[in-house]
Formats: sequence, C-alpha cells, structure tokens
Amino acid sequence: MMRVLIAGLLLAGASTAALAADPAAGEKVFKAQCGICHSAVKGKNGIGPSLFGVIGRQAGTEPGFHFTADHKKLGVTWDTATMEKYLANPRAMVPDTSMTYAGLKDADKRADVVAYLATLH
Amino acid sequence: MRSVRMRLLGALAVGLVSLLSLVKPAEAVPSFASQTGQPCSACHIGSFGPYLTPFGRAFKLSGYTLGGGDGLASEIPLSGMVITSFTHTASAQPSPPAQGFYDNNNPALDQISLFLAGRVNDYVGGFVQGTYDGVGRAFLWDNTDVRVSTPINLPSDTNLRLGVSFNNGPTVQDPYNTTYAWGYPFASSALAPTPTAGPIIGALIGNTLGMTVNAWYDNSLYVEIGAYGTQSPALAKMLGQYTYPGTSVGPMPYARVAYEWDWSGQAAEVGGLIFNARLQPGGIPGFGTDGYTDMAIDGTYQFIGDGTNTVSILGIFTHEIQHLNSSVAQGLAGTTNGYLNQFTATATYFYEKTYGINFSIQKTSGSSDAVLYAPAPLTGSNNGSPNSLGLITELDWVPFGKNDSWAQPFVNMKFGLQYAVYPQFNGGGSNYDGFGRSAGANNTLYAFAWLAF
Ligand code: HEC
Repeated sequence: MMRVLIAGLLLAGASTAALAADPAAGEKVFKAQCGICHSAVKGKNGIGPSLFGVIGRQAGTEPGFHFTADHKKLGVTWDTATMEKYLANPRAMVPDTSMTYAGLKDADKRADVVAYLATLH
Repeated sequence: MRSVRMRLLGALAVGLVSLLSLVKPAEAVPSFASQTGQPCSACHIGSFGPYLTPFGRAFKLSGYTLGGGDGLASEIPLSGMVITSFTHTASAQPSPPAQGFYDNNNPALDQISLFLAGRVNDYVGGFVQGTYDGVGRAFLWDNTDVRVSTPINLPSDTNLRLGVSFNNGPTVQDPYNTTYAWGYPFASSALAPTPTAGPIIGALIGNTLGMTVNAWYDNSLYVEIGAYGTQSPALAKMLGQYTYPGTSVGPMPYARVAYEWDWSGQAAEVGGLIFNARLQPGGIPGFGTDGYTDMAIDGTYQFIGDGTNTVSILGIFTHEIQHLNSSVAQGLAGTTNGYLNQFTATATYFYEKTYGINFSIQKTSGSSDAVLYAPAPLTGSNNGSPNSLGLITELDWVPFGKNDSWAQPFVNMKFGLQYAVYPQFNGGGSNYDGFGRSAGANNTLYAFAWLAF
C-alpha cells in the first residue's frame, strides 16, 4: 500500500515536472548545446546519433551510427527519467563515452530539453 | 581558475590586434584535449594535430567552446610543442641553408611553441601560438584563430550557427586540411629546398590580419566571407616574420564555401574558395600594384569507422591569375599577365590510430617568366618556368594520444620518416637552376620527432 502511495506521489511529481517543462525552451537549449553534434531530423546522424525518436528507443541502437562499446552496454530504453540522469552527467553513466559533453547541470533546462526530445516523433 | 583563464584569454584577444605571423604550420594542442575531456584522437586523424576529424572540425566551428573535461587541467589553456629533426638531401646544397648549419645532414631543433588555447565562455574561444624557430633562431607569432560563435534558433529543427573569426592568415580559420595553413605536409624541413613558386594566398599566412564571418547550416554547409590586410613591414619584422611578399593596397577579400556529408563513420566534403590581393611588392610604393586572384576547389574523404582502420584523402586545385604591373615596373618580373596552377592530393592510412602512412603529390605549373624565375643556384630556374613535381611518402608512429594512453592527454609524440622526391624542380630535371644542379639532388629525407604536452 505504502509503496503504491509512494509510486503514486513520485508519478505525480514526475508529471508536474513534465507539465512545467517547456519543449520550446528545450529546443533553444538543444540547438545551442547539442546541435553541433546531434540532429533532430530522422536518420541524420552526424558526430552523434540522430535524436529523432530517441525517447522510447533502446540506447545505442540508432542504425548506421558507431556507438562506443560502453554505450551499447547501457541496455536502457530511454524514458524521461533515464534521459534526465544521462544528461546530468553522461560520463557518470557511460564512463568511456564519445559524447564530449560535461552535462546539463541546470535541472529546469534539463527538463526542458527532455521535453523537447519527447516531441521528436 | 576561471578568472585567470579569462584574463589570459582576454589578453590574447587584445594582443591579437598587434600580433601574428607564421612560417610553417605547427599544431596539436593538448589543452583542448583536457578542456573537452577527449583524447587527441577524437579531434585528430592519427591522434595528432593538425589533421581534423569531423568532430575536430565541429569543435573548431563552434569556436573551440565545448567543455566536458574535469579538474584543474581542463581549466588551464596552455600547451607546448617541440619538433626536432634530421634532414638529408640527395646532394649537398651549394651553401649551408641557414647560419650555423651544414650544407647537408643537419640535425635541428626545428621549433619550440607555446599555445594559449581554450574557451573563454560558451561563445568565445581560440588559440594563439608563439614559436621559437630553431632554424632561423628567432621568436615569431605563429598561427592564431580566435572565434566567436553562436547558435541561431530557426523555426525548423535544423541547426544554424553564426561565427566570426579573427586570425592571422587566410585559411588559418578553415576547418579542412585541404587548404594552405593546415595542409599536408604537416611537418617539413626548413633546411631543405622546396619549389619556389606557390599561390600568393599561402605566402600571406602569418603576415596578415583578417576578420571573417561564417555561417554553418545543418552541420553541413559552411559559408564564409571576410577580408585581410598585411601587417606593416615594421610590425611583421618585429613579430619575427621573414616572408613578406608585399604591402596590401585595400582590403583583400576572401570567400569560402564547403559542403560536408557525415555518414556512419565516414565523411566527405567538397568546397571552393576565392581570394584577391593587391600588393606593393616589397612594400615599395610608386610602381602601382601586383594583382592576384586565387581560386580553388577542394575535396575531402574520410573513412573512420570504429577507428581501427582510417583512410583519408585530401585534394585541392588552385588556379591563380597574376597581373604583375608593379613587379614589371620594378624589373622584378618580365611579363605582366601570368598564371599559376597548383594541385596537391594526399592519402593517409592509419592503423589503430597509431601507425600511419601518407602519400602526397604536389604539382605546380604556370606561365614562364625569365625574370621572375631567373637562374640562380639552388632556388632559380634555367628556363624561366615555375613547373615542379614533388612526391612525398611518410611513415608515422604515434604511440600516445588515445583514450587508454599513458599520462593522457599530456604526453603526445609523433615520429615521422618523410621522403620527398622531385622529378621536376623549378622547371627542369637536369640543370634546373642554370648552375648544374639536378632536380633529384633536392630529394629530401626528413626524420622528425614531434612532442606536444
Ligand atoms: C560534442 C558532441 C556532442 C554533444 C555536444 C552532445 N552529444 Fe549526445 N552524443 C554524442 C555522441 C558521440 C554520442 C554517442 C555516445 C557513445 O557512443 O558513447 C551521443 C549520444 C547521445 C545520446 C544517446 C543516444 C542513443 O541512441 O542511445 C543521447 C540521448 C544524447 N547524446 C543526447 C544529447 C543531448 C540532449 C545533448 C545536449 C544537451 C548532447 N547529446 C550533446 C555527441 C554529442
């Protein structure tokens, strides 16, 4: 019972965060900080993989992109929570990552970017 | 720490107005590796500068602003570099090539460089190189590129970045290794003769100051325009510059377009550039000017895959139109209207980012001029022709600079063995200079050890 309640509270928390997150603001952050390496266009891999449809995708599976062995081992299917964790400090989750990005420390901006990524379908 | 860095880079930006110069390219900047937290191999083919990978180009085009490294080292924008070498030509030169050297078989400390290289903030970054030239025995301001870069939020999902570069020579700011400032050979002997004629744009690297603006659209299309002016002769001299083709009259416009494709582990580029210069040769007024228009098309192909086997090919063809009014009036050239063509192509293969082999062809041809290319021992031409053909083979060994390398990214070394063969030199094969020297006498073996930290 208790667990369900906590899960419920967490879910509620997550959904209010999601409500507060602003995909339009996230798009700006994305273009400034991720755009050098990532495209939001389907199938357009660059230095990083295309992030079109990344939420809901299994990590390291974008066809035609050479992921590091470390990244392929992740074994997560990207959702809001795992993406937030990854973007806060990519190297903490994938020590040998080829993603040259220190992490997005600002929680609001991070939520915005994740909200933007979720629109890419 | 940040404020120290800000001050250093602030000083750099101010100093920029007053500096600059270069003779040979020289590069590899470990402070960028600690700034980004990436090994040298992330940005450089063969784990060593200046040959850029797609990520290296993106790093440059985004103004050297990416962070990602941790700790103190990532905050210190200083790096150093040393090149030592041994040069052997097939026959001795008529006289020693520089003071304190022999006419053949010269060991040398080619150069010691210090780089101030790093990011100031999310929008500004750059590098300034100061070099002690161990052959000319002088200090000089070397390659410098300081950039401002900002993303633009388009209504579509497409990326666009606009940037400005302040630099000390046309193509020092270019992201491709086809062009003059960062082209192959990446290291070459300052003590061996090389063909005399080359496009003017290459001779203006280091002794000019320029500002260009650029747009980078969809991480593919790069468009840039700007202008250059030469440093005053006094300033160039003060900064250690010993090639000084002339003083520019009016701004010298520069335009560049390139398109890049990035696929899985592969990249390709096609591009072109145009540059125009009006110069008073030797800085001497009263005789009008020499006019040059350089037009080039270039292409790059890189197969990187997972990094085990990499193959890259660079090519550029330059056509130069010359109107040498001032040189003719001063008796330095015989004909006013001339042209020069130069074609260079280089193929590079690396195994495990460690063992490399390069083949390069460097061909120059153009209109003859018995005054401009007059006979002279070693450097002249017997038939007034600029035509030359050089073929270079180079073996490289780069033991460090990878993710798992010892003391990464602070200890970087490249050992190279380079052999240049000249079937044709300054217009001829045998007795090319009018003093009995054959082109093959200039075939050069250059062994170098290149250290960056
Ligand atoms: C300097 C280039 C660069 C920047 C900047 C960058 N990335 Fe990446 N990104 C990469 C690379 C390279 C990979 C592949 C990592 C690997 O294989 O280890 C990657 C992987 C990813 C993945 C995993 C994709 C998958 O299919 O598993 C996500 C998600 C991601 N990046 C999001 C972002 C976001 C969001 C930003 C901006 C906040 C960003 N990245 C900034 C280069 C970059």
